[in-house]
Amino acid sequence: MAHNESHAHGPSQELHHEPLPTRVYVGVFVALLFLTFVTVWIAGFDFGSFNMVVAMAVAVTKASLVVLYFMNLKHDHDRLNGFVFALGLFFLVVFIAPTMWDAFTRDAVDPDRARTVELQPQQVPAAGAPAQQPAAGQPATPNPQQ
Amino acid sequence: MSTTTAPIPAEVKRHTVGHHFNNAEQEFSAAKLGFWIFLCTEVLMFGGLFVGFIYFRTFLAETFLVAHRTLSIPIGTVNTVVLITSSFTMAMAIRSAMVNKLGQMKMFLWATFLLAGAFMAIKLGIEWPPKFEHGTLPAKFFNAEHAFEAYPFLASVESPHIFYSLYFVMTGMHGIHILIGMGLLLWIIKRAYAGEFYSGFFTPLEIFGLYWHFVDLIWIFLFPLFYLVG
Amino acid sequence: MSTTTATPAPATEMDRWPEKHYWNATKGLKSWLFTVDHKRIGMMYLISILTAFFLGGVFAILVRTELLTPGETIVGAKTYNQLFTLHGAVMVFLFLVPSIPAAIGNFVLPMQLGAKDVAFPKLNLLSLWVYWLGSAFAIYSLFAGAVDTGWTFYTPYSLQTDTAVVSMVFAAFILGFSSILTGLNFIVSIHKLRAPGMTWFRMPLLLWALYATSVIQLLATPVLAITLLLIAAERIFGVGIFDPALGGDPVLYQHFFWFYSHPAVYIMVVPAFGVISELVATFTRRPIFGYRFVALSSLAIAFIGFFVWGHHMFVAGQSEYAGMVFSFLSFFIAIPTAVKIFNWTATLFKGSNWLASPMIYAIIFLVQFTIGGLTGLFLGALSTDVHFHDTYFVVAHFHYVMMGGTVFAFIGGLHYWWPKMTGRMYNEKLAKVAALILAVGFNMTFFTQFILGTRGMPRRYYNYLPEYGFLHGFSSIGSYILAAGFVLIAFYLVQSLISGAKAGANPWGASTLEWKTPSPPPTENFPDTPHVQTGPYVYAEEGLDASRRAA
Repeated sequence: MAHNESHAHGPSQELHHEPLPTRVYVGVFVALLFLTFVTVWIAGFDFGSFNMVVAMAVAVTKASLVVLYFMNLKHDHDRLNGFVFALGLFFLVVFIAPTMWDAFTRDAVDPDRARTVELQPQQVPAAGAPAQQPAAGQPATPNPQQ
Repeated sequence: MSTTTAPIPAEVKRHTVGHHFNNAEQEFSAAKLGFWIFLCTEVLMFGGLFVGFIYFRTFLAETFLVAHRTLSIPIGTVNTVVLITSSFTMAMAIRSAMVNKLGQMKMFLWATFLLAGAFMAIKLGIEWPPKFEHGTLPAKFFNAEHAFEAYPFLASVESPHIFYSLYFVMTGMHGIHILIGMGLLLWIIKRAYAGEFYSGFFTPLEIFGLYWHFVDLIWIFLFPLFYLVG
Repeated sequence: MSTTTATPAPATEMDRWPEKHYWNATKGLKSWLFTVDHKRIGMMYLISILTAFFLGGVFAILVRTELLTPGETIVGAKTYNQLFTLHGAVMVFLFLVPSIPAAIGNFVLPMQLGAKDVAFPKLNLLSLWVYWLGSAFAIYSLFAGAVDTGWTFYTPYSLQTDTAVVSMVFAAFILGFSSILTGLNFIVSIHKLRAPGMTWFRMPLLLWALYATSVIQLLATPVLAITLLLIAAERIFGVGIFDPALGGDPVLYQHFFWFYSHPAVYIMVVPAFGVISELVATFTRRPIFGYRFVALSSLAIAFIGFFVWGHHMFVAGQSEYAGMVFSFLSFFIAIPTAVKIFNWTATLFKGSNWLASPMIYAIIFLVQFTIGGLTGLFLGALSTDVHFHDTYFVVAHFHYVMMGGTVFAFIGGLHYWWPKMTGRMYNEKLAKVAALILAVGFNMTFFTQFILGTRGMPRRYYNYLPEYGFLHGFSSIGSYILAAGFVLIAFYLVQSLISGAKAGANPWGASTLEWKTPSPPPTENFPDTPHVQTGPYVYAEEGLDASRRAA
């Protein structure tokens, strides 16, 4: 079938989607507002190290509502879209986890490694000020054989 | 409210599909896939900033706990409500297009735009000026004298300027996305008035909606992380 | 050894020089600058990246000339730092990352899919404009003081140096978007625009490679984007996250940088793997041995490549435990890579092998990339890397994979698809001579550098002890030979445009869809949508027209 003929206005040129009922959107909206007030209210209590966990739990709930309903992932025929989003989140974790693990274990073998060296308070040189040059003409030294 | 689609208004521009697509459904689902992929890149870009946040939140925990008190929770809450509402109005705008209630669609689009503007106005007009006054700014501009005067407790923690560096970079990056969104929304509104969107074609609305909800998502995390957790 | 003769009288209707094709379909500069035809966009990308390659090459020659003799030969220390930085930045960001996907992929991918265009033609044009914009920023920074930090922009030096870091990182930031838009287009095209009957496992291997590359581009490039923005923010606003003087952490910068830049090397090499698959299939006239394994190995490399970035940071101050884990994981990349090398080699065995010029590049690739890949293992092993890090061993390793690998594959692909893109054949004899010159020049330049590295010569030094003089001199002479080879290629390719023989639809007897349409192709690629019934590498029983392979 040749495809360079012009298409007539036909059913295949236009979309035919059924939207979600308004009450779904209103419901999600109200839930989001409610959860916002919950998270602010809860911040007034101190759960110690659980503060972050609780706050993130609420945030993730709100985010899920936005992603599933407003962004329509729950009713999307293309499951690939959800997979793509999850993949992004997965690789974000792949980035965070080793980076943080490295930071935590820096002093595991050699305690000096993680120590912050006390520097003289330094002005960040303004653009245009000459930077410190590496010593010019430094000869390369071969690695010691031992 | 009934979900019956109204008949297609006469003044609407009927859509024809791009020459390389077979039908509207393929074109629509290609656009959505493309945009979800783009959102993936945004997840990783903002995610990088969140990595920086997590890193310093962990190693400068005391500083963050103390410094976050200098942020205004009421203003942050108002802005959160504003943004969530704008997400709602955007979703409703798309829904209106899908049922051919085009007047309603335009109204919701304008509402989204105004709410976005309100978010920026509150941030830039009410929230940020005191920070400049008190010198609670990123490292190079951090004015220790003013800051410690306004917030004596800041003097007792290590590197408070790092908190503000992250705050301004992350909320700033988010704000830039809002401004870009407002620009795109104006273009969409223009096209809406030109009669381009209706039940048979609303792809740009859907795509912009995805972008806008994503911007809302970022804020859903920024708000508790910076303003609330202490 | 077989040679080709000029194409005989048109064997089929399709071999006739088409009256209307994508070059002459519309006329005028505007019709090119505002085109949405993927083939025109691909050609404009080709010209752009070849220009970038030339620029990067000029910097390389200047670097090698400075290293001809110890001490200052033609430039001082700071200028030398700028030269190698610019060589690296231009080669990585302006040439290698876009090269095969943007120049060859844009042209070939829709055709191999049997489609009329990519999924988002206007985004494709946007990605080209964005590439030009980013390149403009990069050129501007050359004149605004250049950059002397190395292409890696390590902090804190990149925060302190007075060179044009902000405009250069901004250039790379913008170029990243071009990369993202291309990747996005390719993924959606492969998902949505395959011709009827083309299942995933009937796709040519180039498409699998470009798909895997696009996935990497989309997941990794944004992290580079934010890293570069943070550098700019640190310089302008003094943000302080990476600056130890302000309470930040320079090793954190390296995590950010290498999370992108390690997958980036796979962005640079995986498309080359795709090209090699196409070349080996066509010029052995066989399906690639273990097609499914080769297809999936591209995805495996893409996936594993995200878990190993710390092997660039073994001596940076990273924790030893993290170092051990990154080292261990790095070895796993060898597995899918070896799958490819073994499968290509197996395809060669008892294949109907035709040593046409593109195939010569493919064979040389197999040797050179293997060397590059194996030497990567020395660098991935924590204990040996401690000695090799920041020596010429590293420089030699990545030039073997990037240049000996990607560039040679790119040149091979350029020769292979040249007849399709231009409708002309180039001088095959000169092409073979040039391949030989390149191989000699390349190995002279870079094998020597492995030796320099094992003897302790540090990288990024403009000066060195006289003991290294001979090896450096030898390497530099090699680089001049390499340059001569490229000049020869440029010569005969341009010559082909003027007086080359008309190529016909399928001068190589290849089997993928792009060869089933005239050369140069019409704007809409195929008059009728192809219907696919077999895998991609099926060759007619009758064999290639004998007159095309006359010995």
